[in-house]
Amino acid sequence: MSSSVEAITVLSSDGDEFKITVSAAKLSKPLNWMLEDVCFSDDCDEVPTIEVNSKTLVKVIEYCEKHAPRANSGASDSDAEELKKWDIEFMKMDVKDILFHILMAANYLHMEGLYDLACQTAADLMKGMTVSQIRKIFHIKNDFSSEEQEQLRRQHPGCSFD
Amino acid sequence: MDGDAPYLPQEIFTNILKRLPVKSLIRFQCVSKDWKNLFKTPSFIAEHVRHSTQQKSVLLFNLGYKCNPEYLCLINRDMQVLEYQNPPSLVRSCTIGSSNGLLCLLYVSSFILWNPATREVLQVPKVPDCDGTCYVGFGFSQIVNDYKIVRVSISRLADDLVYLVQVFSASTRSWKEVEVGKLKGIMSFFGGGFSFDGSIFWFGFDCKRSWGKKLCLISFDVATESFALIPIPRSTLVTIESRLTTYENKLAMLSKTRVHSSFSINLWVMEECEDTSGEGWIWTKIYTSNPFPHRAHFSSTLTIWRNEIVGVNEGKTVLVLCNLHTNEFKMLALGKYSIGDLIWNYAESLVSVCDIHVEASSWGWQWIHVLFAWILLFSTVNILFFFGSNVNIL
Repeated sequence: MSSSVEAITVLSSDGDEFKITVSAAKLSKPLNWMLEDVCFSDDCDEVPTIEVNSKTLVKVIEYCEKHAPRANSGASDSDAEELKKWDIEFMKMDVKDILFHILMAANYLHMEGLYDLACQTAADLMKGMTVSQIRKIFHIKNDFSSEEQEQLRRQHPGCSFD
Repeated sequence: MDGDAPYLPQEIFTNILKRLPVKSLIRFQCVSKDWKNLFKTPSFIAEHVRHSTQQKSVLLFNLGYKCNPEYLCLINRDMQVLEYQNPPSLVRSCTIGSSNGLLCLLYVSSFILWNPATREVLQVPKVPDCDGTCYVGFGFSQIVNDYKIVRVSISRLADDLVYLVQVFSASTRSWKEVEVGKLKGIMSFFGGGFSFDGSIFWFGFDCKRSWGKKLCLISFDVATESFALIPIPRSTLVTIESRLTTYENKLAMLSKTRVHSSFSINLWVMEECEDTSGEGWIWTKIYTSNPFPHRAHFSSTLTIWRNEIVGVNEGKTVLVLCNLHTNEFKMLALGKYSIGDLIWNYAESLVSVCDIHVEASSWGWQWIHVLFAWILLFSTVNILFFFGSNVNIL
């Protein structure tokens, strides 16, 4: 019966199986809907697929499991502090490699907390980047003509195109 | 695919960029034309300032007259007190208002609009000096997407009060005189000019009442450029030290009441009700602080900042913060500084003081269309004439 189910199995877009506890899945609306749809009886072996690759899904589930107890019951201020510290550690990851995938996943899975956290992490990382590093991670070409560059330099002395 | 970042959809992209400080955004204009243009779009600027206001607001204050008045000071989110330099063209000015990251400064009768984050300055055309007592305010209206300065001068001529109301619009960059309207009968203003939700608010003394002076709230609608008077219930105990502020996106007021030998602070919120048959506004007291441990440590209330009521001691050298959730008091010594009259919640923004376009821009386009239509019509008529005359010759 559904009340006895504590974890559900989901498939990543790469076809790998992952287990996520019911309370953790509640952090995402789409996962929650899936939860309601999934047939809990023993003879049903349908496994829902989540359009997120394995590497990203591992991280998303890790976040959900960590945040679920607080989201479901509320927590004291000291717990909130501890969770904040955990978030900072959790977000120490490569932008290109995984952060952008997490952003897409959090957006797709309607996970407000993770989405905000990932957006803020990306913004904080960008602050320290040069213009050419930004172009590289966002796949952008410098489309300013040399005259336009000159004009911008005049308007904002010290601005750099590299 | 690993190691190659995915292309982010515009929505995610904007959500990241709105979190960047103005300094970084100015630097990232050089990334591409798309980025440069995005940072100029009104919707992005609005989203950025919304985020900045919610997450990054700081306190900004005029220095007291004993300090060097060429500087503004700010208190950042780490509770550090920092100097904030005034624009070089205007020394010894005082800040009269702040809205969406723009500051309005005044020196004698010269106004300046300044965005400290982008360092843009707009010198407002001069207006003749005031005849009587002058009251000023600065505000923004989303409806007309314009920033306006209002200057009210009240002078006494025999037994009559003479009013002059002038309004400066940042989009037209000009002053004009507007109707006194409901302001007639108001003797004086106090409490700064607090900008909130498209209006500027002051407290005022109304002398129309037969039984003497009465306090009221004066509002100036930035879009319609008209005044309204809002009665203040007696129970609010408004005094000359009461301050207007915002709490949870509502207009709010801070006042203090005497408790034994000390004070406690009251927080009132005001909401405009749909039903205009009554007084129009509902005032609700939603919070009363514990009495201050030492009366001498507290003089007046200033504003609300990050769930804390901000007050100041008598010497204006120590901020008193009262947490609305925990009821705890905290003191913040300002070191060598002292607070002038006013304090603002300030959040940096990309709003350009030199590039404020109201409906004017759409009107501009409409006029160009009309002009083109006329040119077309005119040339067609000319061509017809030309052919016509040719035909005649033939």
